Amino acid sequence: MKTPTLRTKLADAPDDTTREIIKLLRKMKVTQSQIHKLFKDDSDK
Amino acid sequence: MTAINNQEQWIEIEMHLNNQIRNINVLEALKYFLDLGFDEAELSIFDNPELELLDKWQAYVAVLLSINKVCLEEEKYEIMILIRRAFEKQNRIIRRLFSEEKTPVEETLWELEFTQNYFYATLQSQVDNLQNNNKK
Repeated sequence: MKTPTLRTKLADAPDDTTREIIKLLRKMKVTQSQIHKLFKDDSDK
Repeated sequence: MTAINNQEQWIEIEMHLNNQIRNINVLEALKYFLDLGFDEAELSIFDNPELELLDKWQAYVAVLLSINKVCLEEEKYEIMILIRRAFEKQNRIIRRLFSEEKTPVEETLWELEFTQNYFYATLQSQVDNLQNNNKK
């Protein structure tokens, strides 16, 4: 069985969890383009 | 959600969406998805140029077209469910904008883009896997 990737974990996460992660990322000044790259590189394990 | 459970339905969907892509008629494609069981409120978020979501909507349609060529019915159904969940999640984000909570617009847009990023990356990854498996 495949290990869930960050993307699939996020897709399954409750809205509140996603929002907390988003708040944290914004506080860290992470850009959407960095996030895009992160998800793109997050290949299936 | 309307179950897509036979080959004829998928062929029909592919033909219809192919035509829509050719004509770049997103509204017609949206109407077709209404027939598949999505509701109007869910689809309307993809019909709002101010939110710059039309290109993403077209990307979803493109994914749908590409999966139709390579995967089994069960796999198609899984991907349809993922698309459905993406719609639902984005719809909930939009609704919070107008709820008592009144999430700030900037925060909402950031959340929408973030959500699109991971859902679309997941979809694309699934399609790539299916295509690779198909080649073996």
